[in-house]
Amino acid sequence: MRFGMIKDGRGTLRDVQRKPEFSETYDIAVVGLGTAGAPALEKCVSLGRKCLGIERAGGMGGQATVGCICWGDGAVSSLASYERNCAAAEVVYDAVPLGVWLDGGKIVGLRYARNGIVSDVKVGVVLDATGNATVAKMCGLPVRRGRDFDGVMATCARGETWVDRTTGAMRPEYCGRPESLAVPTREYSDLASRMCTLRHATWKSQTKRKRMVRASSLVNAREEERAVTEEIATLRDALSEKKYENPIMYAWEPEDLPVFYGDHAFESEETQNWKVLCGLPMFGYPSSVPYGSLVAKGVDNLLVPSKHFGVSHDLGGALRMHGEMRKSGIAAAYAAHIMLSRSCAAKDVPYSELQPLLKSSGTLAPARKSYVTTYHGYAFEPYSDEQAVAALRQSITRTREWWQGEDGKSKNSPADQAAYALWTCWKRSLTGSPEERKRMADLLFRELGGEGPYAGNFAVALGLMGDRRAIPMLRRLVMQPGGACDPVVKGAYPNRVKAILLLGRFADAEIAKTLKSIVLDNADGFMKDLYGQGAWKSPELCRFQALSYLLMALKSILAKHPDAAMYAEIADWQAHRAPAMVQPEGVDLRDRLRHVSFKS
Amino acid sequence: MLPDMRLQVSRRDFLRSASAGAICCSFCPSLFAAAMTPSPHPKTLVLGGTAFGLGVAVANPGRCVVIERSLHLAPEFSQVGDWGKLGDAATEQGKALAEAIRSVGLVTDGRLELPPLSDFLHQYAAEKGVSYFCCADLVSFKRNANACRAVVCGGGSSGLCEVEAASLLDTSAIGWRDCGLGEVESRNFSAVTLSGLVSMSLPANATRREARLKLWDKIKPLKGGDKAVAEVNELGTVYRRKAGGAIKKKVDGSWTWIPSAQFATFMSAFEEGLKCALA
Repeated sequence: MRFGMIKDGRGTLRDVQRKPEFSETYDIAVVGLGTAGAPALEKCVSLGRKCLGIERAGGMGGQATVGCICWGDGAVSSLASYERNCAAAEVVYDAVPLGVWLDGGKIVGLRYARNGIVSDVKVGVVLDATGNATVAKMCGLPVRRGRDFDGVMATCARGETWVDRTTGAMRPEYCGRPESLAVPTREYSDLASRMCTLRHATWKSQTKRKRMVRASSLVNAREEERAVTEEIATLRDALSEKKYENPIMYAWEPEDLPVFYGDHAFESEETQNWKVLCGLPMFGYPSSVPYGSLVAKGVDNLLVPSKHFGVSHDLGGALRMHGEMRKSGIAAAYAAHIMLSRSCAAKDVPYSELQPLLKSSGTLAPARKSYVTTYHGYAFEPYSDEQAVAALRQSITRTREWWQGEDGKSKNSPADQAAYALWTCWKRSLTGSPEERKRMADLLFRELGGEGPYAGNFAVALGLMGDRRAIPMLRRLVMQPGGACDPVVKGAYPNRVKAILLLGRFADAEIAKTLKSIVLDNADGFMKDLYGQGAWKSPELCRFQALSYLLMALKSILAKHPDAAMYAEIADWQAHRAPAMVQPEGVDLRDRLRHVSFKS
Repeated sequence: MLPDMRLQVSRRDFLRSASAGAICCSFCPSLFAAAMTPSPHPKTLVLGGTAFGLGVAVANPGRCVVIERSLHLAPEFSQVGDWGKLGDAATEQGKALAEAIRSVGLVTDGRLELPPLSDFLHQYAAEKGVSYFCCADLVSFKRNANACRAVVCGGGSSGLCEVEAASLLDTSAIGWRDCGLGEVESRNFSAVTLSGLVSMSLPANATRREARLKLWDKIKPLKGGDKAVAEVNELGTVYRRKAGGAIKKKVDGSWTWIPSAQFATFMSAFEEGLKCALA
């Protein structure tokens, strides 16, 4: 038998000779009673299982709700009902999990402490709903952190409860993106304390009318450490409409892919395609999560509902919401129930048994149709090839204006929208047959010779499909920024940025010197005409945008076409001459750029 | 005339200092171990980022490290669900802090603004160089031959960290390992509802879970029923006071319990902490 624990931040396992003395035996232990753990515990109890719930805070709800911070889904009332419905379970608040006993590939016991009093209990199945894979880590399992490029994670928001000073009315409030931060993955307390500090700003502006009575520590730290699971759902899966054989939920991904000062240059290819190349940040698409995303790889009886479950960083950006977390908890509870009934491992739970239970609880409610839509409900089927080409001939439109109309009320016809056409091209490359892809690419290629203001669109569309015939026009866009094919459109990524991104992907050696000279001598000039346009709020942000794409493209090119002298030049610039780009929150984006390593 | 230490916390300054505060208050095993490193003597571990605990840390710079289970400083005042009084200050340091709290608008109609008080104290503690770590729970404390060994469990998945300590000053309401339970007469809990604050008194050994279940039963018939319930908070702890002096219990040679919640106001707890000289 082995005992697993986390010491100094690292999961460690040691052999133990003496058998532990367990004070109690439970069918199921739920560790973490947040938005996934609380419904999981409730469901386990309703299935007649003897359960233990352990929670670090003083009540259920987790980071999202423990401070009375609830919105949507009837969360306020459900907190009360969770507590009542779990009356048959042993629920321990203010408690921390300390370790697990493992026998072979199975957890047999759990150690936890409350106020310094340590308890050891025997468990049949463990649901790790901590949100940061704490139990998985104790078992010595590997964990994934933040986004792939630099481990940066997103915090989204924090919530508060206010009471009106005159009427006494109580109102939970959700405060969103304006205070979102990007923070290197560390303990959630790191993030939480920063959010706690930022709360001051809102409080000062509202305190005349209202009194704040509760504040959540942090709402929706999108991810910290994530478990490695049997299956990991990705954004690419969602965008290519991959159909899982064993889904536990369908979700509707809103716009909410990660945003860190717009540093999409460091995001996945899919996020870049969605947000930068297509310009679709305000649009949603359906996704699903397979059962394997709940099954920790390497331990037979450990399930991992909650935000550390098996989805990629970018898909998880919006899946880690209250509704989805609740579904993950309920699905894990059902799976645990089946595991105990059949004495089987988590990965061997027959989906044919799980599916009817999921359906009966509503977690398998069908998603909306699989086309792109907006919050306002306008849905668009992909264009035909000809429609897409016609749209690309006409405009680069700021996304918000596209779906709201210039006056902010009416809806423009989608028939002339370049962004939607770009998505069509990408979708064709993801899901179309070889013949369909070739037909579309050839149509785009025929348009490349144009000189009009939107000719650059065709190069971007072709590049998005991975067709190298786009390269000459893409080079032109970089070498003649602001030229005829690269108009400045408020709120949209300019074609020059898209071109840099795509040339990096193509590892185009010929453009390397041009890119290097822009980095070293002219990053400000390269983007100057964009200052103040939509998202390009400040010169610092503009400079960061240019440099982030330029450096990433150069890194890709040099990886394929090594040039020691150029490497050294850029490394020297990074070390000694890179300009500061300090944001109002005090974050210097120059540090972010230094993650793009040019050390030889 | 106020001393120079008066804080001028503008929004901009507050935000600017956020990163400094974060470094101080997050539990990071390596930072915590470094803070507890004997230099030149082992440090006292102060359990509870309470008003009393902060007072001790401010009065004994470099000699103690504070750990707090929650994310909030002075939780016995800032997280109680009702608006407490700031109280009067008698010492120069106390007066300066009280004035700073007032100057940033944290006192309205004589009552404290609660969660923002905690935020302010993060700033204050950082500026005072207080070594404190939130989201940290004491798991074990044992005396060895010459010093004591403490095991602390950190927030998130940072896990356990074992350090050397000179002694343990426990400022929590009930006391670590419930050592002060015998001194507690009752615990008051409250819930925020649409109809206002609903409260009830429960025995000393009542848990928040019991309180929540009982309060919800009480609230259910009220207008809005369950939907009116927000969160159950501890309103306060009522101690079996002995005549004269504050409650102070020597649990063993190296572990002393002085509950911060026994003091009536934030300032009285803080200033009692200031008076506490560590051995």
